[in-house]
Amino acid sequence: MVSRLPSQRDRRRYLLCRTVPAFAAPEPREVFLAVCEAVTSLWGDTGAAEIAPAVLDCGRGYVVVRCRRGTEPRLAAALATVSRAGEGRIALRQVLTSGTLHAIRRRMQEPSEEWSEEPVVRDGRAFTARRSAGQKVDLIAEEKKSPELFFIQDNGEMK
Amino acid sequence: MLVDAGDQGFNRAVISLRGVDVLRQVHRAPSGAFTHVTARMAAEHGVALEFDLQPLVHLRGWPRQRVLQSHARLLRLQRKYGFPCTLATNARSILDQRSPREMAALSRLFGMGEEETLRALAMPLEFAGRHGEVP
Repeated sequence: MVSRLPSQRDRRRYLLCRTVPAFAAPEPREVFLAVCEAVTSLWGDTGAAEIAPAVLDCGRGYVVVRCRRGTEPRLAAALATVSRAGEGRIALRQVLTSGTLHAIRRRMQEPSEEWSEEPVVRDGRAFTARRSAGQKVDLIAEEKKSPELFFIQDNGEMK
Repeated sequence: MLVDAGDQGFNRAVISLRGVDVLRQVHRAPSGAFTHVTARMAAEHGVALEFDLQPLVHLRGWPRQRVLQSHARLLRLQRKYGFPCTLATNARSILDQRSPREMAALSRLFGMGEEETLRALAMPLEFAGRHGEVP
């Protein structure tokens, strides 16, 4: 393959997003499909072709999405409409937009704390309680199909 | 105090009530529920209109297009008559919440500028100041 000169290459921009909840570990393919669906439904096929979204990295609580330069506001709007990846519910919080992967990787940080998990029964239903670094307790229903997420405070109040 | 919008008569009655701060869910109200007359009344009484971003996130296809059309029409009225407006995600969990930057990106979809977005995001503070300290 003949490599093109830097001046002839497509100009790209990279968006760093944090996945919420942070313990969600969606498959990269599922994230890619979710991003593509969001972009296509918002901007149509021609808009998606212009934006050319691609998921470059997915893991450790972050997602790196690539687009053509100049289309990042449109991609950012589409990313704000992502609410599901595969079976699980997620949200993508935009952290940084950059022209180089180096700056994106510098900004990526490991999760600061380990998750503590414990089984909980509430109203006769089984949940896994996860305490996060943000001083919140997250309850995840144990059902295999379409698991529900409940976010509660330490005092037990449902959010 | 926030009130869900209804038909035109209901909205006019609600706007003229003292103590009402925000009229919300106007995009779900019947067509013609919020006209230029209602807009002028809202401006006179300082009642804000809520732009709900939740349907922009969760709806797809023509239902979302209708919400965008409704928001754009309300924004045109807002610019003409100058009533206050707010932005909301109506989040029920952290997954539905959006950051100010994302809210700005979403509100740009129906034509809201950056300054208008910032003003709309700051509006709840003005209401809090209007009612004094919340116990």
